[in-house]
This record gives sequence, structure tokens and C-alpha cells, in this order.
Amino acid sequence: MRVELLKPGGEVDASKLGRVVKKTDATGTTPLPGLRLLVPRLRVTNCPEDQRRRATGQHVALSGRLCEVLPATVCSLNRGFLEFGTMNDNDDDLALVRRALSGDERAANTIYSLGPQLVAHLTSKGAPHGSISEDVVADFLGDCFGARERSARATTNRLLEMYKGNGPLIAWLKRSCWRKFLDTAKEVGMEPPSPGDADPKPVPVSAEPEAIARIVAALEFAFSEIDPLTLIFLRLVYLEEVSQADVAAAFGCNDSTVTRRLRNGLKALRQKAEAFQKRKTGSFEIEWPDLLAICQSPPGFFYEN
Amino acid sequence: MKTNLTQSEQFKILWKFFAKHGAEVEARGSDELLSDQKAALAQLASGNADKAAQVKLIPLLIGNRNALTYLGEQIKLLRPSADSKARPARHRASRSQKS
Repeated sequence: MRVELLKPGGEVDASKLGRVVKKTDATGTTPLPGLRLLVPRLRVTNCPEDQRRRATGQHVALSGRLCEVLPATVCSLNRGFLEFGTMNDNDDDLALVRRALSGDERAANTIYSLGPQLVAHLTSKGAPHGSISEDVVADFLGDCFGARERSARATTNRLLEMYKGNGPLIAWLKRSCWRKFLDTAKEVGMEPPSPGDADPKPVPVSAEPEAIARIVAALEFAFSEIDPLTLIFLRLVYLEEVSQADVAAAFGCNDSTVTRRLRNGLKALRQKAEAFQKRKTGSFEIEWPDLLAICQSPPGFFYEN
Repeated sequence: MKTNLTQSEQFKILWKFFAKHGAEVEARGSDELLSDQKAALAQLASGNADKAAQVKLIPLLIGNRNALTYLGEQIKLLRPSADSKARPARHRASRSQKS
């Protein structure tokens, strides 16, 4: 069932959402026959503050519409009606930053305590180990709080004010710190590290919710477009571990037909997913190996706390 | 760009991710199978279903994950490839009679 009202990244008034029919667990395995709609980053407004509660990683059915409630979604059950607050996936991080900027020492210390992670991030990307990276991180954290250029313009000098909660704080800090390192390297005439200099230890893949939503949408399109019999063969052979010969015998075709369908099926999946991205996303496209890497180690924000 | 993953690994990764995050797959169709559906799937697993019966079962196999799992189990149990190699003539005969 497709509902035009609920779109990824869209917005809907809480009053337009209906009664909760059924709530599933975090894995979404509870049967909801006939329902199919994933709404990543759906923003629901006008939820009374005092009725909010946190729901993480749940799928809920709204008047026969299935909607995923992302971790930071604030919602409440009120006389059987599901109500949501304004959603922000990183509201905790944003609150921490605001507290730190307003002078809360504990909050500031929490951010400073991320320093070693930032040093490790720099070195993993090829920055030199030791004092150079540590100094860059120390300078960067100083910039975050405007420590180096306190003046009448102090508020505009505080780098942390640039963080708007559009992604996890640590990811923002890592990106910004890496830019700081590159600027510093340029200033002192240091050769910027090449990809080959990177630490061989792999860095866990992280992805923004938007990227996840795009991948889900692209895969949904690809799986719905692929030839149904080919999809059945793919699932039987790769997931149910049935031999290709047995699949061929069951469906009365040659082994080579099954082999060809498997090979072409995966190719078609990739082509459909890429075509969908080209058509829909516009701003950037996730390359196939990156898409596989994200699928392999999806970020934690989709899971229950 | 190329990847070092095998086709099987790629498909498993995509499917597991999609099954977790794409509501369509997991949410849609995990109904219990009816006895006549089981019988039709067992017939397909044995290699004795004609084309019409196969086509009729495709929506069930796509839309109900239990159906696909059941078919996989039955195929592994009945091993139709061994059967068809042992008795190719009879297999073809029964198939042509049905169609």
C-alpha cells in the first residue's frame, strides 16, 4: 500500500495520523500482512510536549500504514493514538553542544574527551602519528570553543556553533578536524597524505540517515523491478542454500539457465539500484562498493538503544 | 568500481539489509501456509509441477517468505536433480502429460 501523505523526509501533522493498529519489535519481524511502507526521517509536528516519550527503532502501523520510527523520534501513545514530536536524530548531541557552548563545564569536558578519537581518526587517514596530529586536534578543539580568538566576535569564532545536529557529533568533529589538518598541512607546506598512507586498520563505515534512506529506496526499487523468477532463484540458491542443480530440476530448466539467471539477476539489481539513484538523488550517488559496505555495517541509529 | 565480494555474498548482504530496513520484505507476507499451498509447493519441489502451476506459485513465493523457505526445505528433502538424472525419460513423460 502506498500512501502519498507519508514520504521520506516529508512532514505530516500528528492529527492526520490514525490509531495504532499494531506495534512490532525492533527487528520488524512481527507479521504485518499486506502492509508495506517505510518512511525514513518522517517529521511529525504538533505533538504536545507533555505527552512525548522516546521510541527507538520500532515499526508501527498507522491506520494500515507502516512507518518506521527512527531512534530519536519522540512519540507518545495517547488514548490509542500515536503522537510524534519534531524529529531530530541527533538531538542529544545537539543538546550537549548547546550546553557546552553556554558554559557547562561537564559538557565541554565531554567534547574535549573525544580528542583521542580525533587523533586516531587523523592517523587512520594518513596523518603522522605523534605530536603533529595531537597538536592539530588540540588546536581544533580550541577553535570549537573559540579559545584561540576570544574577542568581541567570540560567538562567531566558535566552530561548534556550526554543528546543527544534522548528523552524529563525532562524525562532524572528525570531518571538521580532518579539514583542519589539511589546512594546517597546506600552511606549513607539508605534503598532504595520499590514500596509500592510511592506517591499514579499517575504519568502521558510517553513514548518514539520508544515505541509508536512499539505499533502502534504491533497493526497494531494484527488488521490485527484477524478474520475479530470477529473484526466487537468487533467494533459493544464496539464502536457502539449495543447489543450482536442484533448483533447475524443480523448475524444469537447465542448470545453465539457473546459473545465467543468478549472474544476470545480481547485475540487474545493481543496474536498477544505480539507475534509481541517478534518477532520484541528484546531489550524490553512492557507488556500488560503498553501498555494499554500508549495507554490511549499517549504523547503530537504526537499532534499538 | 569492483568489489571483492562473491555474488552470493553480495546478494546476502543486500537482502539482509533490505529485510531489516525495507519494510516491504519482512512485513509483507509471513502468513502461515495453507495445506493446499504446501501441497503445490511440494509438487514444485519434486520437479513435477507444470509451467502453469509454477507461474501460479510465483506471487506466493515472492510475497510470502514462509513459502520460499518451505520450498527450499522441500527441494533439499526431495533432491529433484538426483531424481531427474536417475529417471530422465519418466520425468519428461510426466511433464509432457501434464502440459
